[in-house]
Amino acid sequence: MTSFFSWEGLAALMLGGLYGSLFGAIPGLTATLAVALFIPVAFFLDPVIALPAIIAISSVAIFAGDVGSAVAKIPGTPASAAYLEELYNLSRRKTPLYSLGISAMGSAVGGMIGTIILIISALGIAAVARNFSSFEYFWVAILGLSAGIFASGGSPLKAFISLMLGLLLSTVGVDPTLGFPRFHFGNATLLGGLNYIVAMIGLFGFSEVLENIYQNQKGSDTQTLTTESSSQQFYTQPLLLILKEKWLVLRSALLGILVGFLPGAGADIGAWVATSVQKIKQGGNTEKLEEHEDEVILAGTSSNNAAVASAWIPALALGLPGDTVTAIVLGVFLMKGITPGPLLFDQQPELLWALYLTFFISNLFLLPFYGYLTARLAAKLINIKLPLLLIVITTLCIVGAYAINNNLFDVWIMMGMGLLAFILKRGGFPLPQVVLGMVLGPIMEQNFMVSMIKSRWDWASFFERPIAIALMLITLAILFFGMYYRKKMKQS
Amino acid sequence: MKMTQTKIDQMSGILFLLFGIIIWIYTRNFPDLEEGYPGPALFPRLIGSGFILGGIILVITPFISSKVTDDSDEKSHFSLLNLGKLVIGLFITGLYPFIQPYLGFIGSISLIGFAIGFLLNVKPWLAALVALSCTLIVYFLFTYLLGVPL
Repeated sequence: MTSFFSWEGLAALMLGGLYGSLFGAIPGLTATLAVALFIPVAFFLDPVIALPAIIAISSVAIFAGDVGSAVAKIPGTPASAAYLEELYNLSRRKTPLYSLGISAMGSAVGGMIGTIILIISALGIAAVARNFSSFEYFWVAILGLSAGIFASGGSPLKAFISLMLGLLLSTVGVDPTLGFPRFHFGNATLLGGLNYIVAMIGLFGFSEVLENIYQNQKGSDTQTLTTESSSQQFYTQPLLLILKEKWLVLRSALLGILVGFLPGAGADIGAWVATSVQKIKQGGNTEKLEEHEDEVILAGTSSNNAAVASAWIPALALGLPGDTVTAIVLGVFLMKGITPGPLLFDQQPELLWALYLTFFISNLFLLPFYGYLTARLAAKLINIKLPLLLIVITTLCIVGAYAINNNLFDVWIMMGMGLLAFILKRGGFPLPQVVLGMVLGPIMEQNFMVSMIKSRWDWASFFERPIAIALMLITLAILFFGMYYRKKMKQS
Repeated sequence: MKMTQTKIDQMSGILFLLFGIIIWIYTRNFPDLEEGYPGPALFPRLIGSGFILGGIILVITPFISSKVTDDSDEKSHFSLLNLGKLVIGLFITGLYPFIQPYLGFIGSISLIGFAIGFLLNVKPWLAALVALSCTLIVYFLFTYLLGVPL
């Protein structure tokens, strides 16, 4: 614990937060890439300094992904695509300081709830996670997709078709059962599949450029006038909203934790389910959704960062990565000769408490501090005249798509996605559902095929295990209440 | 050219229906698992069926819906001139993989940024200034600060 409180330890946290905020805010750079590039440095550091630095990087980077959503409509993570429209619209209707304030404060509170749960029940939750087999994972993916249908706030049929498009895009490349190449059209680059970060940059960022070229817009002055000070907008108003909507925050954070600890795309599904539940509650009424955009953002962000903490539960307790960041962290553990698992709780309490403490520091200080700085920068960027901002967005789209794999072909993929988004927008088809389909497609297909092969194609096996049945019932409840509230709203 | 949302929905319904059928045809040569169980074709076919079903519903909904549409329906405007500008924008951006090996990162991205700015009616000197400064900032940030090669 002494090395954690040394000046090196605190400097690692501060620099980690700064590094994470830079990475998260730039389209195409992700929390995973930030952590991966930090590994050579981590190798030479004491684990009590290296691991907290990684937590600081990932916590701040995941929040900073929302900066791209607010300024350029480019989400940093699939989870932030769940509330992209709301964040972008609110940033323009009010100010980015307010919208990103909700995002940062919601993330901070959600992250702290997630950390508390991590401390008190890591071993217990890990025991539940141990009971998850391919059947349960399949139902979790179905749950996420069902939530996605109602998360658009528009036509569920169009959201369904968008999901199908995302699922189809996820089948590009080698199939998980026989290793058979699908939809690669003779191009070796496509054998590895489509990267969803590249797809997101095209779907949300480049499509905006195309849209504005097509509309021939000269751009309006988006300068927002407000009498409140920047700290009031960033801290006071979002905190008041959190106090007013405390049950929403708690519910969303718990959803994030409950779904987020599952290895794979837990955090993403958690955010989608949380925003979807909030939108279902608002009944899919577009006017009402506009009035309550801040609540949708709050639901998504508090779930998002709660899941960041809960992704560490299987990593610490079972040695199973909850997401790509914790997968890298497990590598660092092994590099340092630390074996994760139940014994870690007895043998390395100092390390564990340093990790817990970092989660609190990241959420209590780093997120509000770096969040405020990035939000102020976003507030400046958003006031740049639109055509000039579009030049910057085009540059970032090309660089972001290329930098992911250092592959020039990805620039064309990004452009193709931009064109697809442009066409889908004309038909009123929602775009975030395409990303959700791309993220959940491989999880659903792989677990479905594994389940079917091991049960020798006995369909009943999907309905035999208690957790699988519970997940199926939750899915049915989401579908039922989603339809019910939509019908009720149409009638009124 | 103006089109009602109902017409756009029906047209997209037909396109998705055809797309679903194409997926079914394309996957007919995908191999099966042992004992004839479905393999790599299963998921794409399920998705294809989803498109067919969704397409059919989109096409028939206006016929079975009691809502009178045509006149009150929101109209979308399509302009061939703007579509031409869009194609030029795509063409310019698509040049990047070709020109990057010759002009390098800074040269090619600056050129594309300038051309996009020009297309968006930005004054040429301002487009050049923004494109070049943005490129230099991105290059410095990625290469020197974050250690990501470009």
